[in-house]
Amino acid sequence: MTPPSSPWADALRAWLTFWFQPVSMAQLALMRIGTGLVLLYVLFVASFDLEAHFGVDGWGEEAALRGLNPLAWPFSILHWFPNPFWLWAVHVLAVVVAVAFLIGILPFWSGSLMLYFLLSYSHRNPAVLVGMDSLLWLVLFYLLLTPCGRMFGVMASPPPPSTDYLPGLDSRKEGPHWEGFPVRVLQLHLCILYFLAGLAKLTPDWLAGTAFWHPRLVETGVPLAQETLRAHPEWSALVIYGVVLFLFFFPVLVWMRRFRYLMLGAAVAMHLTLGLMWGHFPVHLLMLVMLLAFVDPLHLDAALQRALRWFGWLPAAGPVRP
Amino acid sequence: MTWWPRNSFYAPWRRSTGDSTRVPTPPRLGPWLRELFSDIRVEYLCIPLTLLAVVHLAGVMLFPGGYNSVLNARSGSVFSYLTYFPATDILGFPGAGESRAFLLYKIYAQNGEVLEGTFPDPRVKPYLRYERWAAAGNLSTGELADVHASIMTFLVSQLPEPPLRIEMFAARWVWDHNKFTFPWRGFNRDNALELHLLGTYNGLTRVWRPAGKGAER
Repeated sequence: MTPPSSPWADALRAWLTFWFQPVSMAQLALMRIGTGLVLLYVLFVASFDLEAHFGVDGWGEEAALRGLNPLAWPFSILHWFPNPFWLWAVHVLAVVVAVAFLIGILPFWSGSLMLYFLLSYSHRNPAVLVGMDSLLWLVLFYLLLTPCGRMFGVMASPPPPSTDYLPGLDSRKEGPHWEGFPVRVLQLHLCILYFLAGLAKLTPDWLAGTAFWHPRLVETGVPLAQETLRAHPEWSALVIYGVVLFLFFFPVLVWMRRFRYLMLGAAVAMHLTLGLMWGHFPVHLLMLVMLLAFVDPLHLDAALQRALRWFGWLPAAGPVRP
Repeated sequence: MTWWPRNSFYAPWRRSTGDSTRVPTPPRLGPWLRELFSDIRVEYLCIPLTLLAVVHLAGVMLFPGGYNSVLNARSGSVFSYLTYFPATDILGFPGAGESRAFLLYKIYAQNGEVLEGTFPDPRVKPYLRYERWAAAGNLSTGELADVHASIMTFLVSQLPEPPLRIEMFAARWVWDHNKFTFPWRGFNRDNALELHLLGTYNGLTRVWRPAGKGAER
């Protein structure tokens, strides 16, 4: 006998189901690995200008830069070590923590510590912050709240000795799926970011259809076929307006089951093109990692299982599990 | 859960029921707490948590980058630590890679040579590294006298020999979007450059003198 339901109870159930949906552990693990790789890249690139940006003999004196940071308490571990040796020691420690997060050693703690290091760099010199930093903060913040170390990590429980692959999705679990909550907030946050990125594109550069030949992009050697664009300016306008329209429509259409994979496919194409053409590849790779949150967990598990079998890392399919 | 002494003065009627007369044990905290909160389901925590998420996302929408350019207000939430960066575009996001402003300096060397450099150096690779320098250059073009002096000290320390003079400018690309001029290939970049003198370093006296407002070159 089913309990009597009221419209309010139904609405509440639908509301909670929306926020606490199950998530695949494989999905979380892939996001953790992708984020960890980008983190390592960011730290590696930061090594080239570490002393120039964050050292005591760098271009930005601490007292001069402090005025740029309006936060009441701009904490930074780098304020404690005004010395090149200790600056490098902290940096090496940050790399070790990033490796720990990548391979899944206590992801909550290693992720929290990594977030602290990233904020420390940013608060030591807020003038060198770029969009990549804010994206890393976001994805780290949400990922460390999930059990992202349960699969594909050194602390993951070993797979059962069976012939088939145990998917990371445990949909049989009763009650709310707490692991789905941070992922849902991340999805919504991403939608807001896409919408705001669309708004930010409503500038003369973009509306005139000339964003492709910005001086900065030209002087850094972006591989643009300028002669072709000059002969056919409508092509660049088409691409630019297409990007703006996509950024506005993505936050709506990605929630519709029918259009979800179309939107995700367009996003992958856009990010790969921009990443390869404009040299921003790591930041677009991070966006693709975050977009993994939108993939249906069942589809992702099935695709992963098929891919692992194709590479021969899993035995052939056995009998279906009851 | 009965934890009082069953044969005590306070419950003498229990003697007549034939209950045991064993020594009473104090209550155990764990079972007592479990029993106390058994009616409260952990699922109820979901509702305030989702409302918190809605407030958080509304904050993200209203204060992108921790800053609202329309209200000219900064988010006061704890999460502003995670969303803060110096605003360089209308929405508060850093747009250093595509920004038009940067630092340009001219170094008058002792051998009479004049070297010109920019902050960022466009030859820096990979792009992320260039982007950080571009963010620094873009931000430094503002009215930040302390930062200009700090950059000048850094520049001088990087030179192999002391210069005679260094001039630092806030540079800005200005061009007509409707014409085929710079940045198209084959057009003179100097025509699209707007310079504003920030200050001069005298190599003889080793003094950095900021320029007054409105100093153009």
